[in-house]
Order: sequence, then C-alpha cells, then structure tokens
Amino acid sequence: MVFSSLIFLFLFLPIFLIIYYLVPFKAKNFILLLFSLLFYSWGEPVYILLLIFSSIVDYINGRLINRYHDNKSKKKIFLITSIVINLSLLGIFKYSNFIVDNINLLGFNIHIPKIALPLGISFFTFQTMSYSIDVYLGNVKAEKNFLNFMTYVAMFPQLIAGPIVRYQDINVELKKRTINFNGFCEGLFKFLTGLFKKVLISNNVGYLFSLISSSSSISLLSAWLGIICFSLQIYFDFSGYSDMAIGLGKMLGFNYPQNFNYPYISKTITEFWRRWHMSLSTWFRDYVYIPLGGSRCSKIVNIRNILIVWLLTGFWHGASWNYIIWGLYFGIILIIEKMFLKKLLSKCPNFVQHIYAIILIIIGWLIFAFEDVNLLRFYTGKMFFNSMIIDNSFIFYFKNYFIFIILGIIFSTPIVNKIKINKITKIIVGIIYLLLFIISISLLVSDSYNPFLYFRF
Amino acid sequence: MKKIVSIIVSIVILGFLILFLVLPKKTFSANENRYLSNFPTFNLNNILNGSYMTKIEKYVEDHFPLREEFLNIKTNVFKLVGMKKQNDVYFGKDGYLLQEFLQEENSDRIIRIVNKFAKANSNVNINFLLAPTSIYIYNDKMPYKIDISEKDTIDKYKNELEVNFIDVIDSLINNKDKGLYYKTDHHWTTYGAYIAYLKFCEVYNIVPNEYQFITVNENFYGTLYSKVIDKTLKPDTIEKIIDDYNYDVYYDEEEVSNTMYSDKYLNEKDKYSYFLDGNHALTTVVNNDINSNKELLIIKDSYANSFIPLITRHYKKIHVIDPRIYNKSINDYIAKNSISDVLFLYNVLTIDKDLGILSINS
Repeated sequence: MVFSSLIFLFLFLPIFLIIYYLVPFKAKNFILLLFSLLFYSWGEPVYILLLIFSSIVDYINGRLINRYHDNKSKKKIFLITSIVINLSLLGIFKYSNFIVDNINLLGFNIHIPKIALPLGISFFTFQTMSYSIDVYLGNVKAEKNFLNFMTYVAMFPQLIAGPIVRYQDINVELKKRTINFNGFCEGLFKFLTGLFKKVLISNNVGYLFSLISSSSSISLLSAWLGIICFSLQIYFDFSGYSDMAIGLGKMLGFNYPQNFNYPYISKTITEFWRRWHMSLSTWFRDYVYIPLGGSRCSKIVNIRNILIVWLLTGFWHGASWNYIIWGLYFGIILIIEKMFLKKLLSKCPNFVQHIYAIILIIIGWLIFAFEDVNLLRFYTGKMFFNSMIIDNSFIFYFKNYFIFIILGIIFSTPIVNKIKINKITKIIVGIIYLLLFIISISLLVSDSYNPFLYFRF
Repeated sequence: MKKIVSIIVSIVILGFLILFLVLPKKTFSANENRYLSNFPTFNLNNILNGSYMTKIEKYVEDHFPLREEFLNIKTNVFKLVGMKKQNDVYFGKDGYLLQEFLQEENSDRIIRIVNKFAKANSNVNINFLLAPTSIYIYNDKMPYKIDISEKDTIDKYKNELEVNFIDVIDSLINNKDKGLYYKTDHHWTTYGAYIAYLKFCEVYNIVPNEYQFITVNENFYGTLYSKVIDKTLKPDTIEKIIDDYNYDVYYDEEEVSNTMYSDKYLNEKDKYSYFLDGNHALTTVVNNDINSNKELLIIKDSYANSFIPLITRHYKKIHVIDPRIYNKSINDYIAKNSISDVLFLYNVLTIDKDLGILSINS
C-alpha cells in the first residue's frame, strides 16, 4: 500500500486513526504494530516473515549486548552477529541476482532463482543495524519490551521509504508521548504537503520524463527538459514521501528527524549531501565513515574512507552498476571539493556556485536514471551531441507541463517561506490546501480510470 | 488555519468513507465501456500471492464515490493550467476533441494480407476506402502544431495495395466546414460519410442521390468524451438521411428489421450504434425497390456503419462483414453468394490497432 492511494487515504488511515485514538495508551503500540503489519503484508504477504525475523534477531542481540556490556569480546560477537545477519538479508534479497549475473560475466554459469526485492528491506535492515550498534556503543539502552521494539521496526509511516529513524530518536516516545489535537493538525498538514508534492508535482513531471526518455527521436532541448523533470520527480517523490511519513508520525505522537532541507539550493556538492536524504547520509557518516577513521587520519586513508562510504551509498540505492558509478561520482567530487575546490568556489559569486552545484547534481541524476548503459549512452548523446536542437515535441512538452515544472522549481527553494504570515495569507494558504486536496483526489481517481474504447468495438 | 483545514479534510475523508460503504455499487461503467470490478473472494492462495489485496484496491478505485465528478475536476484543472492533451485526446478549438494518431505499426502485414485476399478473389472487383481521422482533417483545430504521420500512412496503403484505392482525403478537406467528424467521438458524421459516398459513386460510376438530412439526436457524447470526461463540452448531433426505399435488414442471419437504424441506442451512452445496430459479424441489407441485381460485400470497421445506409439504394443486396467478429471463411462466403464487388472500408487508426482485418484470409 502506498500513502498516495485511495485505499490508504480513505480506508486504512481513518479506520486506523479512529481506533488508535480511542484505545488507552497502553494498547496504542499494539494497535500501531497490528496495523503496520497489515500495511506491510498488504504488499508483501510472505516477506513479512523477513521483517519479523530481522526484528527478533536484533531484539535478542540487543539484549545480549546489553547483558555483556562489560565484556568487550562477548558483546562484539553479538554485534557482529547482528551485522552479519542484516547484511546477509540484504545480500540475499537485494544483491544476489546482481552479484551472480556479474560473476557469470566472468565465464561462470551459476543459476539462482530471480528474487523479488522485499519492500523497504534497505530501510528496516539499516534501522535495526543502527540499533545494535548504538546499544554496543552505549548510546542507548537495549529495549526490553519486544512489542515496543517490533513497533519501532515495523511502524508503517517510515517502514517503506524512510526516513531512517534511529532507535535513540524515538525510544522515549515509544513509552511516553503526547498525542493531541494540535499534533494531529500539524501532522495532517505535513502529510498533505507531502501528498501534494507526490501527486501534483512528482507524478506529472515523472510522466513527462518517461514520455521523453522512451521516445525514439529526442531533441537537445527535450533531453534537457527530460532530465530536469527527472531531477524534480525524484526530489518531490522522495521528499514528499518523507513529509508524509513525518506527518503521520506527528499524528501518532512521534517526532521523526527531518530528511530533506531544500537540497537544490546548495552551492556545493558537500552541501547538497548535507541537505539530501539526511537520515541516510548521517547513517553512513556515523556507522561507516567515522568508525573507519573519518577525516582524523592521513590524507590517503581519508580519501579511501570517502570512496568506501560513497561506493556503499551508491550501492545501497540499487543493485546495478549505475548506482555504484553514481555513488563514486559524488565521492570523487567530494574529495576534489575537500582538497581545494570548495575554497576556490567560495570566492566566486553566488550564482556561479549554484550553477556549478545544480549542473553536477543533474548529471548525477542522469547516471541514476538509467540502469541500462546503452540507454544512458543514448540519452547522454541527445543532451550533449545532438544536431536537432528543438522540435515540435519539445514545444508540446513544454506548453503542456510548464506549470508543473515551474511549480517544481519554485517549491524546490524556500522562497514561499519568505511570505509574511498574517491573517489574510493564512486564510489564502488554507483555501489553497483544501483546493489542492480535492485536486489530488481527482488525480488519484483519474489514475484508476481506464476507458476501453474498443471493448465492444 | 491548520486546525480548520485539518477538520475539513478529516470530515471529507470520513464522509467519503461512509459514502463508499453505504452507496450502492454500479456494475458497469458506460463511459469506460467496461464492467467494474467485484469484491474478490477470500482464498489463502490469493492472499499469499497478493492478488487479493490488488483486487480490493481496484474495487475501491472502481467504486469510489463521485468518480466522474472527480474526473471532470481533473480534466478542467489540467485544461486550465495549459495541459491540452489527456489519454491520447487533444482539446482542440471550438470544442473539438481530437484523437492522437498513433504511429502505424502493422501496415506491412495488413497490406500483404489484403493483397493476398485480392489474388484469391481475382474474379471480383475490389475497392479499398481508408478514411482519415478527424485529427488530420481538422488539424487547424489543434491547440498547437504537432507532427502527424497520418497522410504518409494513408499514402502507403494507396501505393502498396494491389486493389483500387478510393482516396477521400481531398474531398473531405474541401468540405471540412460542414462538420464531417463528431467533436466528441472518433467516428465521422453522416455528412462525413456522405462526402465519402460522393467519391465512392464516382469510382463505381453511380449517379449519387441527393439526400435530405434530418437530426435524430442532439445529445451525443461519444468515445472521445469518455476518454476525458469534460462536462464543459457540448454534445454532438446525430443525423440520418431520408431514403424512401424499403429494405429487409438481417443481423447475423437472424433478426429481421426493416430499418438500418436502431432507435433504442439513442437512449444509451453508445449512440453511434444507432447505425446498423452497432457491430455485427454479418449484416445483410436487401433492397425491395430496385431492379438491379448488383450485390456488394463490405469488409469493414465501425466507420462503415453510418456509410452503408447511403449506398443501399444502389444495390439489390449488400453484405456486411466485420472480420473482428465474423469467424467463418470470407472466401467461402463470396463463392456462395453472387457477389461482384467488394469494398473494404476502414479508418486509418482502427485498422492498425484492432487488427481484425488480419483474419480475412482464414
């Protein structure tokens, strides 16, 4: 089930919330867990066992690490057990097909069945792993109550697409949280913001990108328009989903960490990665980069650390070479920025810095967008070496999707936050939200509309 | 403000939840021309493979309250922000909906098959009439210029078919101010068919009849309307011609009627089926008021339905086969009946997309 669907908005969510608000506090986690398991099994009726298994493993390891907190070698064993099991789950269910395919390229002939990627596995394994590590490091005490722990892992708002919530972020709220009308309103508002990002912007610019990238003749301007649309799509999709998750969390009394902070206004790539998918980059910083020695070591080791982190970040996004290249691409830019470029850039005018960053980001998305190398090469050719600068299709695309692209660009920046808040603007924003809500529903309804012209000829 | 918005949104959500639960469920969607989904039956297998849940989602979507009103909102909001195309339909000027001409994919196969058919039936006189669609004739109504390959496709058929080709494009273009295509439907109007009829008569050496046109319905929302659901559009008018000859009409060799028009469809969504009772596998029209013994076989799609009443007065008997539904051998049919002429009548989009014509040799 996805948040931006009629069944979630009009059935699952209201029924869940009514029950959740009505039951006494003691039963709330149980109800939340129950509905979360229903939510997950809606899309993955079998893989839910995996989610439960991963929770049990880390619950037990967490408790064992806690018990032997004075015995360094013993608690290390349990930490390693947790990490090995979680990474094995990822390895088997996310990467095995990719790894075997590549080994076979070397002349081997190994056959394994095609494994479908379990929903949200990249997120929940990272959450449970961070838990074990944090218990090991003494950052947080192990959770004794399995119900609470399982609720933490399976909680439906952030289960499928983040943000990656660490146990220490919400361990207090798992036991004691304020649930009130104010939180409900704040949360619903945030949720609606995310819904609009996804349904109104992301889906539409995403449709245009798929239209352009699947076309056989692409003019230079269309190619650029397409990749700009993809950049907007991925931001509005992902940050919209995070907003919906954070909003839902608020409605339930949880405060999840912020995940996006206007990444496209960055002046450097270093800054971009402090603003993009923040819960993931801090995860890699805290659990990979710093344990490896971070930057408090020789230059060479530091460069090695950066490359390892970005290789892994890329690979985390998908089991395909383009994601690895995409990660390393950013790793290398970050190293160059660290060595001298950042200093140099800071002397340039602001707009030069913005253009520098956004172009590198867009080229990054180009690598990200195409898993198929041939398609990537074809599309890149259309962007840079193309004698057809403009064609009728471009004008058509541009005129039809102009509003979505412009809105996408405007809302990629914090410009609207500059509007003074007074009585009148508040009323206007309220009316706009209600209108956008109705429009969003009509878009969701129209997705389900399938006229069959020739059904009866 | 956040509180007021939240309260209103909550009420709307709860309201729709209740409406969804209590409203009676429709079984058929006329605009979509399809049956709406049923609530799935409970079964462990369906749950384990996820199809049970997918079907429930589909069910919720299909029976969502005020579905068409929401579609209308979406269409008009999109139109407002400059989106001039939805579901492959362009919003043209003057209320014209224009269906996108999709690049042809099957013309080589179709041409080969028709040429084969012509070889097998070399004793009859075969003509081929390929109608353009409204996006080509009414290109000036397009919201903006786009490249369409429709003319190239028609020319390809014209050049490569080894039968006589009736080219109606120029006549249609010269008469475009007379409303040759419905604005909300993908068919041509009776007058559009009449222009093709004049060209047909020229080829067949027939003196065309001067028909009088009368309106039979003024509330026709066609298939293109169904694709976009835009309640600001005005309906089309359906006309028929006045012909005082007496006919016997046989649908699928059974039902007998004395008219080629089925009034009952004028009260339904699918009003174009007024002509020749929609699509039948085999229709025969016998003219009781003519001395000639000419018999014509028409192999066709639905464009022919409004065309056929124009030519029946010139033939003793007209046989109409829709190969999408007719599952017997057409060659046998020709051999068994005293058919001297065969006319293929298709529109250039349908012929390539539904591919019923591929079965004419089997």
